[in-house]
Amino acid sequence: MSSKVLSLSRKIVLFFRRPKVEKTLKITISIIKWVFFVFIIFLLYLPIFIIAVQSFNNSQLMYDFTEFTFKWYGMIFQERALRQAIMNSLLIASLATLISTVLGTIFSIGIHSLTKKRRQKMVLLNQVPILNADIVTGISLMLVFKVFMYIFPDIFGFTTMLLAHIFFCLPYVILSILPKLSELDDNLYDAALDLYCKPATGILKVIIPAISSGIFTGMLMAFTMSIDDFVISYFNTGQGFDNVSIWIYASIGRQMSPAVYAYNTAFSFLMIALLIVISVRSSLKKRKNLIRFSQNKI
Amino acid sequence: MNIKKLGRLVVPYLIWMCVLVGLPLIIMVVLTFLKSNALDLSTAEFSFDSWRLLFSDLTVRTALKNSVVNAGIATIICFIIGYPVAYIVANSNFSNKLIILVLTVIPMWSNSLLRNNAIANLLSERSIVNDVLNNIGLSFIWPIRGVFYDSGFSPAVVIGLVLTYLPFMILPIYTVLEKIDKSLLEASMDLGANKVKTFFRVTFPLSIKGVTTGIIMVFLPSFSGFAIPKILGSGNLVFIGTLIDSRFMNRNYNFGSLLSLVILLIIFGSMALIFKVDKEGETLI
Amino acid sequence: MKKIYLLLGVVLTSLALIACTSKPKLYVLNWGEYINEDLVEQFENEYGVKVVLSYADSSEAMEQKVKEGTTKFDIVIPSDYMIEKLWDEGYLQAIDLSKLSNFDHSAFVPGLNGIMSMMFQDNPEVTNAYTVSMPYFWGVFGLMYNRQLSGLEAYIEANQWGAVFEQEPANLFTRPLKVGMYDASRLTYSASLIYANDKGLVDDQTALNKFSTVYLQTSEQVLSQRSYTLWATDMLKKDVEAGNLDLAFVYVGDFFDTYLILTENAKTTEEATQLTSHIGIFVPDTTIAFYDGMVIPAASRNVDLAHTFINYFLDPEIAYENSGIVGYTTVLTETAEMIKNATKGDVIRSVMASDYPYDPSTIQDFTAIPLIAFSNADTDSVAAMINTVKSK
Repeated sequence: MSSKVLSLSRKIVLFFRRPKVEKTLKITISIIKWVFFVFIIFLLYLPIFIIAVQSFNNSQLMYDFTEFTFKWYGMIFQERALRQAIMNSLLIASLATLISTVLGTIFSIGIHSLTKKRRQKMVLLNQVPILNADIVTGISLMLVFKVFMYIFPDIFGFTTMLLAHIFFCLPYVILSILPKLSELDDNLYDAALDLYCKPATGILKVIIPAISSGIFTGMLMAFTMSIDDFVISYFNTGQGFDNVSIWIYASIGRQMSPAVYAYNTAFSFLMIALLIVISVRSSLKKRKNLIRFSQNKI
Repeated sequence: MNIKKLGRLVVPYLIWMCVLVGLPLIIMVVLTFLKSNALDLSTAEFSFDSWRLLFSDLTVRTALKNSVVNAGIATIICFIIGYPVAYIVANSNFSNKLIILVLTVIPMWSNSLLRNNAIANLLSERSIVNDVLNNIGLSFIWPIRGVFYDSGFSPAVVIGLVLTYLPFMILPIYTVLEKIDKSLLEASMDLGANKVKTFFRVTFPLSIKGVTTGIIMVFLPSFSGFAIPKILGSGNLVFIGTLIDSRFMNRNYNFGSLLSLVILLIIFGSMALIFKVDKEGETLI
Repeated sequence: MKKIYLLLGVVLTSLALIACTSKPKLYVLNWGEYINEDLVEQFENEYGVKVVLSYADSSEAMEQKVKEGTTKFDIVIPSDYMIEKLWDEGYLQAIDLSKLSNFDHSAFVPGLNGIMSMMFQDNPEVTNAYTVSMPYFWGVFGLMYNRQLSGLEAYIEANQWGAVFEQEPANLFTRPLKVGMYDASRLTYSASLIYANDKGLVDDQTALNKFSTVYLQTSEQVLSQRSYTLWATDMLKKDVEAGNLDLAFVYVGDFFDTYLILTENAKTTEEATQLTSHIGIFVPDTTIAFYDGMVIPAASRNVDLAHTFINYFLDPEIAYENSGIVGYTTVLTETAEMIKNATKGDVIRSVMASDYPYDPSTIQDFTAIPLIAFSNADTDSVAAMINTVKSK
């Protein structure tokens, strides 16, 4: 019995070892692989696609596609609450990105220059806001700001939301810059100081250019996190300073104005376009430098 | 080494973290032993009520169970889907940077609440997809929304969690897989191992770091979230996140803080785990 | 690179300029879809101010937001029982009626006085309920249902609240009913006790306004009789309309809200009837009545402007424009007349006013009881009971 099974399995193995079979098998596997991959991307983009479909739907009702229209795109800035929320979101996201990028760069250089043990401890501390549950972060910040409220009674609103966003954006910036710093040759900075550079100039002229790709990644991450945040903003808002997520959360049960779908779709496309422009420009620059370099060589 | 002198740049960050991480922790711990009206300390009194409630309340137990069940299933599905995707990207000839952007960052520029609302719409009996399909003569019913089992498992919530947090599983695994030295794989093949054996003996053990981070990055937000269960759970499910939210909304800061500390305990456990496998935190983004 | 920084700088400054205006700000906390935003804009232009609107989906949520104090609201619009509670706890300030040129005791519809007189019975200091809150809209609760499911209408009429709280007999309908429950613990509790009184589970007409452990158990028992497809607030009306629910316990005003959205583009009454033929509303024999009133929190910093705002919405013309978007019943007699007689050529709203229980004071065959506030501890117990029901 067992010898029969064994010979059968050997036969199967031999069958698959035949060159022709092996080739078809390889092709099939790679097809399955890519079909699976495309399917997962499709799933990830399905909700975004549905939002886009809604944004072109003439009817307000979520389940009824009546006719194709662009009218909601014109309505984005007509709805006062939505318009205000969009302004607030963009303002907070840009400011938080800007501030956390600048501070994050400085702090990362600081963390990088610590001894190994201390550095690891700082990295661990830096992970707290990333790994911490949003709801706990949101509540923690709210509690602190509530204490501050005894001194500054009007702190809730713009100020608290900005501080909260900087709080959770900073770690992402630092984490994207640190690996670039460890690739950097520390002697470069020494050389700069030996050439009578002031420390600040040394950082600005030597270290920052070398880690600029890390800074850019960090900036992108910070902006992405800030623009999409709901929970932390929800606990730290006040004075009617709502961002888009808070507006959506408050409207989701009701007949939400389809203008928000239009905004969402338009925003995604603008960001993608911006990203393409930036990457094309930087690759063009690289090519230009390459050409110049090769010309110099000749 | 002049660069070592720059260490003092960290000091403001340390102070910032102490105020915004340390201080609230102390406030929360104190709050759990009080019975107070929000943060009003003048009427507060010492009490163990919150602690008693934590161990005796049926709702807390159900909420913990529901959160663990749904977040657990979502994490497993994310792993099953995410690992192959990360593996395919890491071994492809495409511009990986672009694919990773497409997979992780671009979906996040769409508001996550709106995306989950779209999923809720998709899973309703009458949805826009059904309407469009009906118009071209196809009928398709997918009444998963509202289906609710005694186990606390809600398919709609799990779908929402998976589609929201899948990128957080793919990214760390991809980061690790991409860094694996290809010569190790060649060595394994040269020593007679086949592809499958190489994968399980070499590639997978080397990617454990990314897998750990990925699992934690998916499980933690799924476990503690309250917006997705609220949008997709038909209001029938009590989650630990929704419970904390409702406690704080009812100005019961004491019990809310205690529940937050429970979550925090799990988070510190996860951080210890990550610190063990990845000291420099390179898999986190 | 420099260009990018310049661009960023320009964008930031312009955003900052748009975000901050030096105009006086009026902070208003309202229910969602409960104000005509065009009127708010009109108010802003007329008085050169900026109105900042925030939203909440229950009176309890409004209570928390007022008590949190993170935003110093100038106007809040909670329901009757919450107004009384907030006043008793000292979170509100009195309205100065002399500042309201449009105010007139006799301007309000008669039925409203019934609710107003029920308030502050144990508080002799308040002699005039209008000095605490200015009525905004009012109405009753009802059952919104799917008209396309045959037999459902008759079943609801025969069973009243039982249609929502009881498991329907098997095979009565072609499929099991999908029922939605209002997820605001105070309302759920009271509705379940009205049902309990109807069925003789408790022998007390006023049980809905009392809190006791016995009633709490009764309520839990009633709510456990069936499982609900959806626990929600504003989402219920949307899901009944979409056919995702067959029956739900909602504000009657929610039904008219939906009605107005559906008939937005209708030209004739026939067209309106046809567009809304799939949904219906039923008011049980005994139900809950409410009014929502504008109050000025004690922490308000812009009291004069708050009075101007209240006065603005007491103008019958403005109230007419407001009710055209909101769908709830107006509190002003003159506005009600304008709607009924369709003096503005608004056919659909006149149909609405005559055909349906739009105006609670014109319909005699049901009893509507307003709610009385519970203490914090009791509210918490009720909320915990609802969570227990959901956890089962």
